[in-house]
Amino acid sequence: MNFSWTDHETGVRERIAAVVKPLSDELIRTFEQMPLPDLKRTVASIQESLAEAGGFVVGSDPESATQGIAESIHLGVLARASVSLFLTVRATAEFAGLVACFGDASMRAKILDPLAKGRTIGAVGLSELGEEAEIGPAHVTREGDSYRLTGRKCFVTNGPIADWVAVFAHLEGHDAICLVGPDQQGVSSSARSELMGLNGIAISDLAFDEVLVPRDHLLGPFDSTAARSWYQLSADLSIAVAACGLMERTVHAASEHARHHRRGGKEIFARQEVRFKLAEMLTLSQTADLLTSRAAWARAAQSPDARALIRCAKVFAVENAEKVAGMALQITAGAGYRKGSFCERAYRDAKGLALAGTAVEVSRMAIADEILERY
Amino acid sequence: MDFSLTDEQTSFREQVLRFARGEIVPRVREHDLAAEFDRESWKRLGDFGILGLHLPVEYGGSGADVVTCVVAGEALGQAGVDGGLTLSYGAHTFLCADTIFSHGTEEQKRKYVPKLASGGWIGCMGLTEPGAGSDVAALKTRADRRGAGYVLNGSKMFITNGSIADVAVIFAKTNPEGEHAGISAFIVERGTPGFSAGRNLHKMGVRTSVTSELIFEDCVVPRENLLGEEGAGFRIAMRTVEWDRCTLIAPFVGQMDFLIERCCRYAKQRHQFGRPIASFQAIKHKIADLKIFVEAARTLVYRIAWCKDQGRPVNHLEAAIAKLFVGDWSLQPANDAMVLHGGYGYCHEYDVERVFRDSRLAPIGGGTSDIQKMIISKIMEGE
Repeated sequence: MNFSWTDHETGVRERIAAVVKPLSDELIRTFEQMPLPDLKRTVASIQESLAEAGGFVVGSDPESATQGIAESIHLGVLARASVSLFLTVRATAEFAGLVACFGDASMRAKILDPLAKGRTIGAVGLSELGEEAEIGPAHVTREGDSYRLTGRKCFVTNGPIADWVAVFAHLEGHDAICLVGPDQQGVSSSARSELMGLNGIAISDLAFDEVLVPRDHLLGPFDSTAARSWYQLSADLSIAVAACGLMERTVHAASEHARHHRRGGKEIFARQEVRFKLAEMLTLSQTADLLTSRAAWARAAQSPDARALIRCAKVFAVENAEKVAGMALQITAGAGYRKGSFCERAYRDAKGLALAGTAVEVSRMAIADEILERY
Repeated sequence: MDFSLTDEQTSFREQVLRFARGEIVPRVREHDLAAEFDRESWKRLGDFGILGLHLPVEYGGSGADVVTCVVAGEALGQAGVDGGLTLSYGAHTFLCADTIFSHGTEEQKRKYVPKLASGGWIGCMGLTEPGAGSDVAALKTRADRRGAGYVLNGSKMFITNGSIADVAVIFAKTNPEGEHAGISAFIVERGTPGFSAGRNLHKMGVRTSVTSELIFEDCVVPRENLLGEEGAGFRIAMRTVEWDRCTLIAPFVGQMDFLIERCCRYAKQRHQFGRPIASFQAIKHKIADLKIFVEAARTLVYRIAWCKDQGRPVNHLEAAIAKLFVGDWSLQPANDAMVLHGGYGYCHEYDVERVFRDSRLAPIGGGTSDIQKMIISKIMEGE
C-alpha cells in the first residue's frame, strides 16, 4: 500500500501542470467560438505539448494502452483548467487505446505513431439515437476483401475535428470497429452541436452511408463485447477524472469567493453555514479524487475489482460534482449566477458529466449485478 | 500509488472473518437485545490476538502495523460482529492500551500493557465530561497535587467500558487556569478509593458496549500514575484521534459490507410480483449505493492507517474528512438496507436494524460531524 505519488508520477504531474498553466480561462473560452479548423490546430498543439510532457500516453500494445488509460489520472490538472479540453484530449487517447488493444501489429504501426506524438485527433462513435433511428444500428457488410459501413452515431466527441473515427458497428451479429477518416466518401458530420454545457468540446453526429472500409481498417469481429467494455470503462474513468478536476476547481472558486465577499461586516467564510458547506464540498471532492485514483490504479494493476471500482468512482464523482457545483453557486450567489462566471459554467458542465458515458442508472445496475452474482 | 494489501494482510482478513463468523457472531443478537457486554466474546477476541494486535510482542501483542489493524476491524464488521463489541475493543486497545504504551514509563508499560493486550484486563479512556466534549479546554475534572500524588475530583461522561474497566486513562486539569496546557493524563485502577462508576447509559445502538459515567471524589492517585509529563494531556488525547479516524471507524465500514451481503441474499430469495426483488431496479440501486459508499469510505480510512504506518504526523484535514464521510454518508445506505428488507428489516432477527442503530453513532462519537466540518473549514481558511 502506498498513498504517495512516485517520483516518476510526481514528475509527470509537474510537467503537465507546466503545459496547463498558460491556458487561462479567457483562452479556453475562445475554444467555444473558434472556427473548427482553428480549434483542430489548437487541440493538436496542446496534445503535442502534453505528449512531450508525458501526459498523453498512447500505448503500443494492450498492456501499455491500458496502463496509459489508467495514467489519465495525472491529467486531472487539465480537467481542473477545462473539463471540455480534458475530454477532447481523452477522446483521442481512447481512440488510440482501441487501436492498441484490438488492432493488429500493422494497424498499430500505421496509426499509433502520429497519435502518440499528439499530432492527430481521434474520436470514437458508439452511441446511437435508439429505436427511432431510421436506418437502424450501425452495421458492416462484407464486400469482397473489404466492408461497407452504414449507420449514424450521435454525440461524438471530436466528431467535427477528428482525423480518425473508430465506429462501433455490427458485423454478422458481432461487435466490430471500423476506422474511418472524415474525408472518406459517405462520411458526413452534422454541425457542431450546441449544448447546455461542456461548450469547449466539438461534438457532432456522424453519418456513414455505405462507407468503404478496407480490411486493414476493421477491428474484429469480436466474439465478445470486450472492446465495447474496454472503451466504456476507459471513457467512464476519464469522466470520473474530469468530475474530480471540476470539483477541485469549484471548491477553490467558492472558497475564494467566501474569503473576499463581505456581508454584515465580515467575510462570508466566517458564517458557519458557508464554512460547513465548503467543508462538505471539500470532503466530497477529496473522496471522489481518492476513489478515482484507486480505480485507475486497479485498472493498471489489472485487479479483478477494477470494473466495479471504475463504475463506483464514476457514479460517485459525477453525482457529487453536480452537488458541489450547486453548493458553489449557492455560496457565490449573484456573482456565480452571472453568465461566464466559473461557477455557472461548472454547474452546466457538471450536468453534462452526469449524462456522459455510461448513465449512472446503468452503472448502478451493473455494480449491483456483479455483487448479486457473488452471493 | 498502490492500494493493494499484502498477501499476509489478505490472508489475515480471511482468518478474522472465519473466526468472527464462527466464534463471535452467533452470540451477538442475544447480547445486543439484552444490552449486555459479552465477556465470553471478549475472552475469545483476546485469545485470538485481536486485543493487542498492534502492540509489540514483548508486551503481549502481535506487532502488527496499523493497516493490518484496520483490516481486522473491517473484517469484524463485515462478519457481522456488532458495533458495540468493536467499539469496546477500539476504546480498550487504541484509546487505553496504546495510550499507556505510547506515553507510559517502562514500569507503567510492563505493569498494564500485557494485561490489556491479552484481554485479561479491560481498559477505558475518560476525556468527555457532562460539560466538556469536543471543547477539551473546558474540562472541569481537577487533579490537585497533594503530597506524593494527586487528588482527582470531577466526573466523566459517555465512557466506553467505563463501569467494567480494570484500568482507566483519565484526563484532568492540573492547572485550572491553563487551557490545553493545563491538562494531564493519569492511570487510575478500579478499586482506587474515591473512584467509582455511575450509571450505565441505555443507548439506541452499540448496546453490548458499556457506556458509563465515572465519578472521582477525592480520589488519590500516586505520582507514578501520571502518564507522560504534567501538562501533556491534550497532546496525548489528540494522538488518540489518529486511531479514532482509522481503526475505530473501520468496523463501521465493514458493517456496510455486511449489509451488502445481507441485502443480496435477501433480495434473491424474497419474491414479490412473481419474481425475486433483486430483479427490480430500485433494489439494485440500493445495493449499488451501499457498494459505492463502502469503496469510497474504505479508501479514506486506509489512507489514514497508511499515513500512521509511515510515521507521518497526523493530517487533521484527511482525518476529519474520513470521519465526516464515514459518519454522514453511511446513514442513507444503512437506512436503505433496512427498507430493502421491508417489515423484516424492522425486526431484530434480520440484524440489519441493529446495524442501522449502530451506524447512528458514527456521526456522533469521537467528535460529531459538525466538529469535523469546523476542523475542515478552519484548515481551508488558513490555506
